[in-house]
Amino acid sequence: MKATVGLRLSKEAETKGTDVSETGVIAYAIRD
Amino acid sequence: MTKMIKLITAPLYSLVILMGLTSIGHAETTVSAEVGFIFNTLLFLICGFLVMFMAAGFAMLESGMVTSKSVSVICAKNIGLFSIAGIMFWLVGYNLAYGIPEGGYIGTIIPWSDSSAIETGYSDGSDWYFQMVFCATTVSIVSGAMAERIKLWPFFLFAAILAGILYPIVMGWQWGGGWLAELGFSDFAGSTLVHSTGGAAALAGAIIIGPRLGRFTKSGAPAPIKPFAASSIPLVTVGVFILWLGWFGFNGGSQLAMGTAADAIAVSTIFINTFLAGAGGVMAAATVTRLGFGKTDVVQMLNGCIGGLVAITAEPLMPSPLAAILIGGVGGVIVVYGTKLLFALQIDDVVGAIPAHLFAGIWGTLIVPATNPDASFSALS
Repeated sequence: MKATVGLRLSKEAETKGTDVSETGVIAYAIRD
Repeated sequence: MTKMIKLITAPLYSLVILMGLTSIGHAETTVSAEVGFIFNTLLFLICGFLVMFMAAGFAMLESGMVTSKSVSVICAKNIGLFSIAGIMFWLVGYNLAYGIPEGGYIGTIIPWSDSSAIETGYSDGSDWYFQMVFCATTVSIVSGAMAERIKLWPFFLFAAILAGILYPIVMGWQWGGGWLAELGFSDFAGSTLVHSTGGAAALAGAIIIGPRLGRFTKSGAPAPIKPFAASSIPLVTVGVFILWLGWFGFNGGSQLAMGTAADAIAVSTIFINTFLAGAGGVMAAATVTRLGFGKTDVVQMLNGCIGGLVAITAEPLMPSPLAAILIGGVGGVIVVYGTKLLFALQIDDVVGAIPAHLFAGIWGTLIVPATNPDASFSALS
């Protein structure tokens, strides 16, 4: 798994948040 | 090993025994086989509904515990894992657990099929449904621990393996009549089989995948809370209330029968003890965090509730109400200090699933012989 698609998000994706990087849908329109 | 377990649990045993402590037997009444079949089936179906609703509780709890930029994925994971668990449990899981030979280790790999008969006491479909939601619960436990850094599809693959292979094998060892059942192991509704299994999978996953970026400072201490603040404490609270409600199905349904007055009384007793253990966990966590750390930590109170519920799950029928509060209370304390232990080890469990399910599950299982005279540590010696 690690060698093919990888288990963990890239640093960039993790910093952006999994909503943006994995589903493209944000849960909350307003963020602090 | 046995000595160490006895050393740790002996003082608590004494306290539980001094407090009262086991519930009493009740006279049985009988109904026709068909009426018993109907009532037993209804118990499975209704309690199954309640356990399925726990999935909503996990989704709410986890959504509230993660940061606001990782909530949608939690929702995707929870609805996805539940679907995967159901399909896998139908495809291979059920018979991997229940097709196990007596005293054996692994069942057969064939899909579930209906062979209902009045003699079995309940419809096969209701049993499949009730057991399936337990399986899905095990996978739900894992979801939050690795949140905010695992990719979605590898998690789904992990969910399929856990639901289709790992959990059914462990479950079959006890509830399928495997080697643990032969040794006299006692786990009424799954402190070990469901919660510790899920918690252990969560621990393995959290270790393999590592902590979130910047979660721990170079000195090893947790980073300031702000960047990792829970997105919604109200959502976590709603989640825990839903889980608490669902737990009545989890433990009550594990009586596995509702065809006699004794069964009805037993299910009611289980409901009382389940409620009290959760309450004990909440107040123990509140007290410990206030006295020990200066603030009444609401997250620990909420996870303390889960810890208390997990702890009573191994034996929710036999303890007296006071003993149930104590067992749940210790579960709550274990959650608080278990969380500290994970911080010290730099293991990033986003939702606190490992202390609440794994650690409290171990405690709940070890304390069973204190209230259930049919259980003991004799197989260990």
